[in-house]
Amino acid sequence: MKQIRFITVIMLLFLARAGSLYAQDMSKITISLELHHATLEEVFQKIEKATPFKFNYRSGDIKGIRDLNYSRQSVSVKKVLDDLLSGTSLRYEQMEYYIIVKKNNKQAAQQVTVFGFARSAHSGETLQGASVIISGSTTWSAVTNAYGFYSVTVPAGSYHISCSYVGYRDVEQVIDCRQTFQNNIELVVKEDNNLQPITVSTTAKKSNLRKAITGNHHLTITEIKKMAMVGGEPDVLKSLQYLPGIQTSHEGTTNLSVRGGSYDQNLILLDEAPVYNPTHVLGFFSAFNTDALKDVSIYKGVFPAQYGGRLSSVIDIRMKDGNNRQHMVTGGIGVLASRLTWEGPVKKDKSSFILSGRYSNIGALLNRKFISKRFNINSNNNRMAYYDLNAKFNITAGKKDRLYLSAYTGHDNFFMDLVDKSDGMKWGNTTVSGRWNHVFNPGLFANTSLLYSNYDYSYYSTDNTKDFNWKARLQEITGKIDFDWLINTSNQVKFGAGITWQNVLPGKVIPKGDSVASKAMSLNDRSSAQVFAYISNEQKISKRINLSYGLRATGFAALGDAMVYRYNADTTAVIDSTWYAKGKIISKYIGIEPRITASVLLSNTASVKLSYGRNYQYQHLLSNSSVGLPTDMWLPSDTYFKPQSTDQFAAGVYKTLQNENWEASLELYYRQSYNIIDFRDNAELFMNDKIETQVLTGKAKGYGAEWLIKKNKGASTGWISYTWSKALRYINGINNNEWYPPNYDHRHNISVVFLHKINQRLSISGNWIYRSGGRTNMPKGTYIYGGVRYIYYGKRNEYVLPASHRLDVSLIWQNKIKPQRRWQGEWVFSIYNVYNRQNVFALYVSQDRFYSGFSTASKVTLVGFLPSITYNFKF
Amino acid sequence: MLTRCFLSLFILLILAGCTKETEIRLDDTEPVIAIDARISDLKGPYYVRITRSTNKLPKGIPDHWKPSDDTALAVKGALVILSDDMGVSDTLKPSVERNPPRLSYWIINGKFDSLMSEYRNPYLVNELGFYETTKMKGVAGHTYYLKVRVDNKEYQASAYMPFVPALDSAVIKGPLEYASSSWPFQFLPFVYFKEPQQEKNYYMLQHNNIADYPYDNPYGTLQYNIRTPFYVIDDKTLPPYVNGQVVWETESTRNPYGYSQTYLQPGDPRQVRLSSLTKEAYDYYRVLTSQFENDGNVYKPMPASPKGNISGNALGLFYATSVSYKLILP
Repeated sequence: MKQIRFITVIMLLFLARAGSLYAQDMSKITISLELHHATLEEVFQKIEKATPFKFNYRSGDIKGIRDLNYSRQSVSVKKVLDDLLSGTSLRYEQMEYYIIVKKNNKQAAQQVTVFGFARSAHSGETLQGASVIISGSTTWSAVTNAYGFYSVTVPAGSYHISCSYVGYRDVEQVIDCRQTFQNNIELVVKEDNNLQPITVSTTAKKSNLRKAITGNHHLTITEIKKMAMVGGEPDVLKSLQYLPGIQTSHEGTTNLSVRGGSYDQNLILLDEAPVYNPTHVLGFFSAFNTDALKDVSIYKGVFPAQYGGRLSSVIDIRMKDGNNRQHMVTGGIGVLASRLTWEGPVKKDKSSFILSGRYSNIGALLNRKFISKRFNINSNNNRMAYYDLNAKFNITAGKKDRLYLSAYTGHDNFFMDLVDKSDGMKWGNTTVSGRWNHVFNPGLFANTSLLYSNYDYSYYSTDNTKDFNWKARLQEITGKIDFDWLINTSNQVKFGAGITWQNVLPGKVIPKGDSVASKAMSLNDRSSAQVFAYISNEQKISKRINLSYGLRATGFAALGDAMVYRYNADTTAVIDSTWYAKGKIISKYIGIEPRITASVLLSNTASVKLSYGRNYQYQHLLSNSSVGLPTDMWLPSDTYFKPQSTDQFAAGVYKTLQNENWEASLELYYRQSYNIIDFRDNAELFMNDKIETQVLTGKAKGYGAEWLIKKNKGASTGWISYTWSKALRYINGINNNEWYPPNYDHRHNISVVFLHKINQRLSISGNWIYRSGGRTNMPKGTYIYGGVRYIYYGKRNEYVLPASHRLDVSLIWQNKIKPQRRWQGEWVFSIYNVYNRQNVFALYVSQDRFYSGFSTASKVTLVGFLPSITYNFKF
Repeated sequence: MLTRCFLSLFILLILAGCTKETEIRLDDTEPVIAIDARISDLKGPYYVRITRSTNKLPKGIPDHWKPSDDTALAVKGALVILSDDMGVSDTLKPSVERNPPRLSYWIINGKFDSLMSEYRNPYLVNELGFYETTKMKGVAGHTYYLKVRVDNKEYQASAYMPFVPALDSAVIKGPLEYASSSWPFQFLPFVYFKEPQQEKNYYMLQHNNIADYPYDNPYGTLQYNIRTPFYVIDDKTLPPYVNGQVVWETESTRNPYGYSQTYLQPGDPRQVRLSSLTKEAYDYYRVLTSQFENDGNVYKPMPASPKGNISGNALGLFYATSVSYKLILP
């Protein structure tokens, strides 16, 4: 006989709640029974009459049970059923006021798996990080993965399933599962008229307390878009700076220093492909167009095992898949940039695409007369242009497969005589990722990715003091496969492996025109290959204890062709050199990266977590300016640049308050890094084929405490965070071999983010940030040489800059919603630096170009009070 | 207070960044000895200057600079000995303004001529910390040793004098492409020479008045000394035959008179010098140059002092250089 898959109709829980019968206890409700040669069916009818319970069964199952004799007074329903069914092949289960009676056959004794995808009902966009909770006699929970997939294994039975996601209405269902089955969940947006309906990624409810992970934050794109930003341009990387433990070395820039790490220790992934320079306009803006993004999460310090390659953080940015239900155009015109996005189905519910572009408006304003007059720019050929393009296509092939193809490209052209008189800079990133999701079986999900990333950067000479242009390039190709395997109710394994090939051209000089005083030259390419494999398990040890442990192993090889020099002790002279042919291994390293996190639930609203992780980084950014220029060099590890590594310990206490409206946490961390690099004083980097002689390696440590209190629900949301942190470096040969602070060492950090929805059309937001001063070198004195009075400097980063703080506010005003009109618009009015605080961007002493020995101390402040207007639309 | 708002990146964003002058008090630190010493294979005497550092940032510069405006804290009464690897040792004497007569060179009636004249240089005097050699002669390929004793503390340094390729020729060319329209008469000297590709070389390029051409130090041509201005290059980007390398005066290096680039006119008589440097000396000059640029502003490298070669934590440098030169005559 064909098995019936569902015997209980899915019903909304509120029906059950509406009745007064909710949650009756079978063991407390008593009846008196007198049975003589009764059938089971008759027994059930009697119980139904005398109690609120209703029986649910297939008559075939109970047909054979008759001749029942039973006589008891005031006995509980539970006892009756236990007694009567004990000798049969039947068992029972209570679901609200239903008692479900079924055959105690093999299937029923088995564990079954409920799996599926969580999607937005509006756009079909899959939802990452939605929490799925299945409750029966105990509770199981899962969080959807990056592709919206979830999978939970439970003993066969009837359950109450709920799915929640910020910005969406909770979905609650009753399901009965005798067999493994696919249960896709569609969530409905809370505010259908919102311009950003795709609210993405949130800290899941209870599961966040249970989840064995520390230092993890998600920001929804809606939150990011509502935060007040300079020029009204939403910015992913700047928004992250308001989270605890994440700061920037310099006000206004997108560089992130995570838990005392430098900004090159962050892995920034866009649809899994690494982006080597995530900035526009020399670090002032992120290279990501928020209109095309779906999801942003950051992992600080102890990463899940599937991530690796950097020491401090992983910032995982996902692009939208594209609406697969209807065509939609969104866009905006702001002071800084204009944006336009088109998304829609190719075949409804099957495949969709998104195309998104952004172009800077600043270049058009730059050379206007009134601007050059106002700011005394003497040159009218300043250039400052950037654009970025995102494109993505995905197709669902059957129930088990989905393919994604996404591409990103963004470029900058920058010349300003105030930054560099004689050179313009161009830089850009291109990434392509192709991915294939496959559901092998309900418990096993796989994703296969092929990723490409290209980063090129160049100087072009704008005058004739230099006879050449300069360019450099980095290319990377990665192939990998990741599996999510739900073994049983308490073990969820992730494993995978991959290989990366990378090629770096560190520098190439191209003579200009018919130049006779310079020759073409090129530094040797640096090739490298990396293989990696990982396995991790998230194990539910008991109701209260969750453990996540994993191991990532990486093997790295620097490959020829290359000339490797050997130096004398202080690397001032070459004593030997070896030539490695193409493809030959020059040096190889193996990294074993264990990661473990334990979470202990103290109560339903509080937990404690402990974690340890080790990370390796095989890429080194050679940058010797404090904010960084796009022309800074990325170099792979080799004989001299040993892989950097970090050991990090983190511990935290987490608490939810007021029915999860609020969450609070305190995390402590300590980290120690090895083989970090820093330059010798006055390093010479230009076209240096012995760059290793300019670099010294050493160790670093950092520690700190991060407080966060966040409100997730209601008309007002937002958070307050405070971070106390300290970072130090020790490098033999720098600062007289004493510990010194890096320039991003800020002791105190306070951020306040407040978002409030006044009514359907009006919302406001404000963010305030306080950061104690960073560090810099200041002169110690002056002396005469060659008739000129020169400055000399003391210890590295000895000087503490003044603290900075700032308030930004914004107001979003939506047009009236008319159901018959597709066009929706909104105005964003924002004010940057409301109280016109003159924060120090840089403090330095420079020697005058025209009078020897005449030194001036200068303070650079960024903009004061700055209002701006942006118009966003959707149709 | 002078306020100079500039278009920082932000302007472009219609956000105006501002650079303002501000007061900074440097830490009180003990003055340090600074030594400025050089020997070449040109005619001596060679000068060594000894001063002390200060923790004050000088403010302002007089319109007409004169020796008394010099802010150096001169060290007088030091014992200065220069010796070489051939056994010559020379104890330097305190410099005086009036020196024995020497030849000076002029273009007289369109002809290159010389005449013996009294040699006075009010800048190279012991009151400003100068000492001069009495007999030492520099030769390329040799090593020189400097010993200075001040207040019972000894400072030492050594320097090798590298060889220099001979200049083929030098010409004044222009107007340069980058001449501004308001001042189109920008001409500079260009040099031609064979660059030995098999060895690593570092050069300093300079041009100066022909009056001083055989001498290491200048005559009284209002030239303070010949260490400044300068232009140092590495042979990294130089082809085997350098077919016209501009003798640019490093933009950021200034002499005391407050000028920018010294542009020439066609027909100006000029001496062009190509000096050899060791890596040590090249790095020192390179950093001095970059110090003007790399002031610690955010897009600049962290400023740091050049690494000198004088023991005892003294600031400054002692270097030896071989000079090849060409005279550009009308």
